[in-house]
Amino acid sequence: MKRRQVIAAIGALSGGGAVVTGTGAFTSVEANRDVSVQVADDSSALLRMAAAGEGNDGYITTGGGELGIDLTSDNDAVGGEGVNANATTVIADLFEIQNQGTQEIEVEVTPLSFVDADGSDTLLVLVVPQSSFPSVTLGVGETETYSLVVNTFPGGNSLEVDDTITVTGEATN
Amino acid sequence: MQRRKFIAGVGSLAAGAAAVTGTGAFTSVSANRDLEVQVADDASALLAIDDIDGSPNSEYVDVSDNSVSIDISTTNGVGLNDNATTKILDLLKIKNQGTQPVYVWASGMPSNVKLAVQPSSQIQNDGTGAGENQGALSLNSNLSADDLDDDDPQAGESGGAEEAAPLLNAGDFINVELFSSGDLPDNLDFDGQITINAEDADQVD
Repeated sequence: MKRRQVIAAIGALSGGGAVVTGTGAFTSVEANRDVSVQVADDSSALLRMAAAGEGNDGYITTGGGELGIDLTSDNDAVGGEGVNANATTVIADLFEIQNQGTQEIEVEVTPLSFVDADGSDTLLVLVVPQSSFPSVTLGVGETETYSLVVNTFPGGNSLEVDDTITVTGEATN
Repeated sequence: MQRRKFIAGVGSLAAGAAAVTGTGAFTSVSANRDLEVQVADDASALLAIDDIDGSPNSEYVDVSDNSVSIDISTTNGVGLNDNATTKILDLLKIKNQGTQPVYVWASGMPSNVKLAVQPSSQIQNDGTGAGENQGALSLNSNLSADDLDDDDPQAGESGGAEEAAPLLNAGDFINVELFSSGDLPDNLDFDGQITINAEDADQVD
């Protein structure tokens, strides 16, 4: 429907009402209202995502204001170039998610596990929420902390997880 | 849709939502974020485990695989003497390439075959007192699995009396020797795995 037609239709309806109520009808109103929307860095957004500040911040990247997790040779903040083969590596208290909105939300990180395999070599990465699995309810201002568990068995330096986690925050009511 | 009409539309929507909820709440946010994990050779991993450049004892260490292995056996031409003290210096170098201080120790060694920290290491707690490392690295030497940081002189019979595991800040390393002493188990033929542990200093008991 074209704009002119919409206005005409609304006009007619309003006109009809005016006859009944006896008020001064208007044919059309077009009003502009201010809308202010800003994109914030993850660390200051409504759904805040940031390094947890517990000693493992070096594994967190914030390129472009977006939180990322990097346990590879690309990460210059860490001397090591990846996890050990044939080992279990725990990165405790890696990042946190905080509800900086105005109502209670349900926060979910998906997926929570990643696998890469080559023959018998297996790389398993688990994202572990601290207080509630698999999702957590966060009141206004509340925070959930996430750790990483990486298991390699028996190993294989060709293995790699290069993937995406999706963080969802949804109002509970 | 032209811009002006879009603004008008958003304007009425915002006004409507405010009337209903009375707050500026957000209903949902969904964001995709990168996660990258790589497996490295032991020599370049977060806990770097490597042989020592120029050490004649590197021939007992195989670094060709992803994970380092030690071979002191007749298949490699030698074996340990029984009822003797054997030291193999400069066998391994273990380096903390992570981001925070960790205690490092080894578990699962065969009886009377031990690993020790050499004085040429760079650690935070070398010394001779409680909470300090005097050279022990494997749990079958003078380390207690229950008190790796030896921080509580009142704790149990071993509290404060034993030594702490070596404490490595990011960038610190230990040079590791292997030694055997006394009676080795009859027909010692250990072909298994030992575990090199590194744990955040705040988590170690």
